[in-house]
Order: sequence, then C-alpha cells, then structure tokens
Amino acid sequence: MRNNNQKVVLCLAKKEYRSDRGRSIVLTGAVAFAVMMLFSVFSFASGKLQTDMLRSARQRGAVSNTTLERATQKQYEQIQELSYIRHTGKYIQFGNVFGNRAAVVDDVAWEKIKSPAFTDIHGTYPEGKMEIMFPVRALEMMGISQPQIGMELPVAIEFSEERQEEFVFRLSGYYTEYIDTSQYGPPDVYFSQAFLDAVSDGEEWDVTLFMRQDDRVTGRQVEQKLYRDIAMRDIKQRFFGNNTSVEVAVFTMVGGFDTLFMITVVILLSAGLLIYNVQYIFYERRIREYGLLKTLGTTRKQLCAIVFWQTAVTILRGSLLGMLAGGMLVLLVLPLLLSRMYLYRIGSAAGMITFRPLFLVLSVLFVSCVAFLCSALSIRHTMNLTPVEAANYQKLEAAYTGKSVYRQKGGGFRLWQMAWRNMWRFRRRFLVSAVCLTLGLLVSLGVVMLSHGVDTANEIESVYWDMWVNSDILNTDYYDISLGSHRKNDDGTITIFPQEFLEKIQALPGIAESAVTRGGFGQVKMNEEALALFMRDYEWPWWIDWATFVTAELSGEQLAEGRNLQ
Amino acid sequence: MKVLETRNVRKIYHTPSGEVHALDGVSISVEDGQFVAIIGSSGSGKTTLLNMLGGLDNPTDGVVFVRGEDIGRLKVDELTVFRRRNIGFVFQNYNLVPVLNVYENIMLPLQLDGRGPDERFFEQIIDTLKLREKLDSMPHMLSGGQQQRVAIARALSAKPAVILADEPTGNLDSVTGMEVVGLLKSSASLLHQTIVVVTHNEEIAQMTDHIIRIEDGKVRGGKDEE
Repeated sequence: MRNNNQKVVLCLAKKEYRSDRGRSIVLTGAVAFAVMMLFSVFSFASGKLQTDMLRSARQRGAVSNTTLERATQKQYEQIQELSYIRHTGKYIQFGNVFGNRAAVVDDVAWEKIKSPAFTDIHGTYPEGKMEIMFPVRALEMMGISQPQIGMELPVAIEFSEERQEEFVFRLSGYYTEYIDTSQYGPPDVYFSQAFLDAVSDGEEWDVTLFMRQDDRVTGRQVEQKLYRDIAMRDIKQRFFGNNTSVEVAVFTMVGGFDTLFMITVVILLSAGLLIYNVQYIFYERRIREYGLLKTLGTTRKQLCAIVFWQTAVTILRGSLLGMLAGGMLVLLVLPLLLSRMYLYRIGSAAGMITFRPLFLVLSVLFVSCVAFLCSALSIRHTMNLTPVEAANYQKLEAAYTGKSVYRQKGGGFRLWQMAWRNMWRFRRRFLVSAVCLTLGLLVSLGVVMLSHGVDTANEIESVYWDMWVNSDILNTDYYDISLGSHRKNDDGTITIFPQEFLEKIQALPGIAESAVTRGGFGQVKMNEEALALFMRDYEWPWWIDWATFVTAELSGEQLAEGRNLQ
Repeated sequence: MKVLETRNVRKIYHTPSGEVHALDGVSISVEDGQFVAIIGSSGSGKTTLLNMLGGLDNPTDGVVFVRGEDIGRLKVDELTVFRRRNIGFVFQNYNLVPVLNVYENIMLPLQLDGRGPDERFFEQIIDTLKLREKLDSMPHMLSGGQQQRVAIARALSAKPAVILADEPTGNLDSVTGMEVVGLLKSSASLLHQTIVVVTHNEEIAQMTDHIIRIEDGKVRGGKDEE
C-alpha cells in the first residue's frame, strides 16, 4: 500500500501550478494582499497606540502612572518588591530655576520613567557635583539657542522664599520636552545627587516616588493594591494612581479592550474570508482535475502533497510580496502619517518602532494557516466525492442552471428572477460573498475612522496655539472691583480685548489668524438630598470630602452678550 | 474464473424531479480474459454500471466484486490503490492530464504506484499504438484518435487485470473508432486482460466475446445470454 514516489507528485504539482498562471497570480495576489493588510493594519494600530502613549507621556513629561509623595526609604524598598509595579524611581524637587523645577532623580527614574518622555537628549544626566542638565525650552529662555556640552552656566537657584543662591554649573546635557505646562507644571532642570547633598545642609527633602505599574492594572486597582500592601506614614500621605498609557490609548482609540478584540476578530475574519473565497472559487474549477487524478490512482496523501506544495508556493510568493509591500508601507508611509497626524508639534515618530517583525510573522502565519486549512478542506471534500461525482461536479451545476434559465425564457424571462434563483441555489456562496462584502466595508470604515476619525491634528491645532494672550481681567481697566464685574459699554456689551489691540495683533508680521475665546464659570449649589443622589452612583475615595461640578449651562449667545458672566 | 461480478446492484440518483433508478438490481459476471460489451440506449444505465465495476461510484445497494474483492468494503485510499493496480480506464473524452506530455500521461498510473516502467512492455505498447513519434507532445497537440490511443496506452501501462472503456470511440470517426477498438483488443490480448466496453455501436459490440444489454437499468440479455 505504501508509495513514497514523491517525484511524480512533485512533477504534477509543479506542472499544474505553472499551467494556470491566472489562478496562481490571483491566489498569490490574495495572499500578498492579506499579509499586507494584516501587517499594515496591526502595525498602524500598534503605531497609533504607541503614538498615543508617547503623546500622553511626552505631555506629562514621564511614563509613570502612579506617584507617592513624601515617601520613606522603607516604602520605597517595599514598593520595589511588588510584582505589579514595574519600575520605581525617586524624584526630589528642591527648588526652582528660572521658573523650572530644580530636581534630582535616581537612575531608574531617569532611565525608565523620565527620559522615555523626552527626545533629542544630548549628553548625560549630571553626575559631577557642579553638573547640570537643562530642558531646551529653559535654555532658550536664558537666551541660549545653541547649547554646548561642557559650557559653563551661571544659575540662580531658589531653594525657598528666603534662600536663593547662584552657582556656576557645567552643562552635562540638555533635552527636548513637550510637557503641557498648564496641566503638569514646568519642566525639570536636573542636578546631581552630589550637588543636592552638598547644599542640603542637613535638610531632609521630600521624596516623590514615580511608579510605572503593570499595563494590565488600572489606576483604581493599583491604588487599592498599594494601600493594601504599603503602610502609610500618616493620614495625609496618598497614592495617586492613573490608568496606564496603554489603557488610556486603547480607550481613546477604540473605546476599550473588548472593542479592540472585536475589531481584531473582524479584521482577521476579513483576511481569512478573502483567502477562503478565492481558494474556493478556484477549487470548484479544479474538482474535475482532482477527480481524474483520483480515478487514475492518486491517493489522499498524494493529493495532499500536490495541493499543499502548490499552496506552499503560493504562500511563499504571496508572503514575500505582501511583506515587501507591507514593509514599505509601514517603514516609509506609516511614520510620516503618525508624525503628521498624531504627534503634530510634540516630536516626531521617527524613533518609534513601527516595523514589528512579530506582526509580520503572525500575519504570514495566520494567512498560511487559513490557506492550508482551505486546501485541507478542499482535499477532504474531494476525497468524500466519488470520481464520478467529482467529474460531474461542474457539469451538473451548469446543466441545471441552463435548463432552468431556458425554461423561463418562453414564459417571460426576468433577469431578477434568474438572479434570485441563482442566489437561492448557491446560498452558501451568496452568504460568504455577503459576509465578505460586509466585512470589507467594515474594515474600510474602520480604516477611515482610524485615519480620520481619531486624527487629533485638529484637536491639537485648536488647543495648542502658537501663541496666546490671556487677559488678566482683574487687572485691567475693564474690570470694576467695586462692582465685582466687568465694566459694561454704553450698549451693554463687555470689552475684554479692545478692538485696537486686536487689530494691532492682526497686523503683526507672521500672524495668519487670531480668535477671541471667552468662557465662564458657574457654580451649582445642591442640597444634601440632591448630592446624596449623585453620590450614590459613584464610589468616592475615602479622602474626598468635597467635589467640584463644572456645568455647561451658558449658551454661546449668552456668552457673546456677556450676560451672567460673574 | 470470475474477474468482475455484480450482485443485485442498484443505483438511485436523487434529482429535483424525483428519484432516478439508474440501475435496478443488476447482477452480471465477467470471466477472466473476456472482451465484453455493455450496450443499451442512451440513459439506460450502461455507464453507471461501468462506473460501479470500476469503483468510480458507489452503488445504493448490492455488491461489486473485482477479482474476488468486495470493493464496497475497501476504504477510500485502499480502493484508489486497488483501482490503479487492477483496473485501467479509457474514457470517451480521453481524460488525459493536460499538463503532462504523452510519455508522462502513459507512465502516470505506474509512477503513482511507485513502480518503475517495464521498458520492454512500454516499447511494445507505444509501437502497437503508434505513439513513438508523439511521446513529447502535449495532449492538446494530438488528434482525437491519437489522444484515445494515449489513453489506451495509459490504461495498459500498469498491466491491470481489467480494462474498462466507456464509449472509447464516441468522439472518433468510424474508421478510427474501429482501429482503436482493434488496438484495444490486440493490446489486451497480449496480457490476457479482461475488457469491458460500453458502447452503443452494434458493429463494435459484434467484435466482442459477450454482450450485456441494458435497458432502463436492468439487464435484458445479449449475444451470449447470462
């Protein structure tokens, strides 16, 4: 029974493969497209997630999510032992330098928590006693546009209101940060531990611990765990836990991990169905060939060898093409796209690893598995047919179709009837096609959503102006302290920025556009009953004994008219 | 010795218009070395019977023996191997593998079985069937008669005990048809093979040792009554 003659099988496989170029091209194209699609989509999604995480980290100036103020050495050591905390770094702020924070961080805090949020880091973290590291923004404020490592800088440090001292430091490094100062305060100017020890004069500085938790642990969970595992030094000491960048990025992009999973399934299903559909169409054409081979004595194993060899060649060629196309897309286009769309004005995406070989390998593996599975299914189907059934497979179908069509011709032939009959007759094929088209549309919509719907360039554009002027309304001639409100014009309107001022701004060279934004605050007073109702649905942390409610009751018209502005 | 035997074989096809009894209790037997014709009108069930004899289709009911083996009890792959070792097929539409040349087509059943060619026998076949000049040609380059000769050579190459031919002259002109049947008969006589030919050509049927006449799926008798 055994037959190990692989030569004839290989010969058949090769000759059959070469004989139908159209089929080979379409199948190879389908594999290439599926590999490219999967690799690009997952690379894009991963890149987008990374970008969001990077954006969030850059705006915060750190990749940590959780902090503990006034930490003790014991707490630091205990936290380092915790399995759900990946990195713990020490941070000490001991004063201010030109409006920036004068700080010292340990190796972990710099390497794992701070520096990943910065770009263009030149030089090294200060180690010598009189070494200093500046953010570029601070250097520019000092009038240094072209800093040199090793240059000497006279720096005045404000240790406290009473203590201010000036030193001359050697610039050991500088970095570019993108901290959103309105939310996270000014950037840090870094000093060495040696310098801090020298100027401390026995003073104990408050140590803040920056912690980077495991990505699977939410901010709420990490707080609960930390309060459970670490003893607080006093009642005022608190942990501040935030969700990880991964969670925030996933939530921002698609709404949550469950949606991400669903989208992943839909994308995989689309690629799988594409391969299945194309292979199925060509398989139907080949059933007669398989039937003939079976008649001539080709066993299941030999048929498997023929079909699997052809599938392997198709996958190899398709995967190479898909890898090439996907690789080019991911390496050349994606970083550009991500930088322009999501990292606008907060650094480039050039340093990000958007090309992930693992995605490529997984894409090729998935497509290969589907292709081999489809081939195995077609062999199984063929082997379940007798040679006669295989030989007549298409004949029967064609004969049946023809017969029905012609019969209708005499009695008033309708195209839609033919379409309906065909649809009903080939229900399975119709269903697969319908699902394929639906998934195709879904994926297309998903791509549009990903590339445009979550494009934050506009949001950044609107939030981060090149320059803005705040009216310090309390210190202008337009605010009447005795009245506690703006002085109204004769026509009842309020002027915060005089027209002449706005015109002067507009006339400045380089100003392309300007706008005036006005806002207001409102306060809602609630009685205890109403408050209890609100509090019932929210589990407040134990230390919260107050809350601020922001309302949006004022309409645009009211704001424009200046009514109710208090 | 009975090489082929069917016992009360039935074949029912289910079609949209109802059941079709292609074979209705057919019992026949063919002796070793016989040249048998199965004749009948179109749709009478003769091709269905041939398919049953060759294990190309499964009977709805009944048993088929080939060289004493109940082929209905064989597994799919066992039947495939049994078929390629014991039965050669010649079809009306030749059924040559289009991507293989003449030589490769002839050798295919042997090679699928993992056997090398019997050079002397191969030479004998191609000389008898006048295929020497065409060994490198592809099937589409050959005439109908030439393709049928290749199909016969392929059927003979594995030296099967039985040759089953379904309308082997159906696509050929009468002269070529008679020539092909003659070749089939003389080639098979070399190996004392049993040949069963399905035909509706009475002239060809008269060249055989035995005729099985089928009408409406039932055996009606023939030149040499069962």
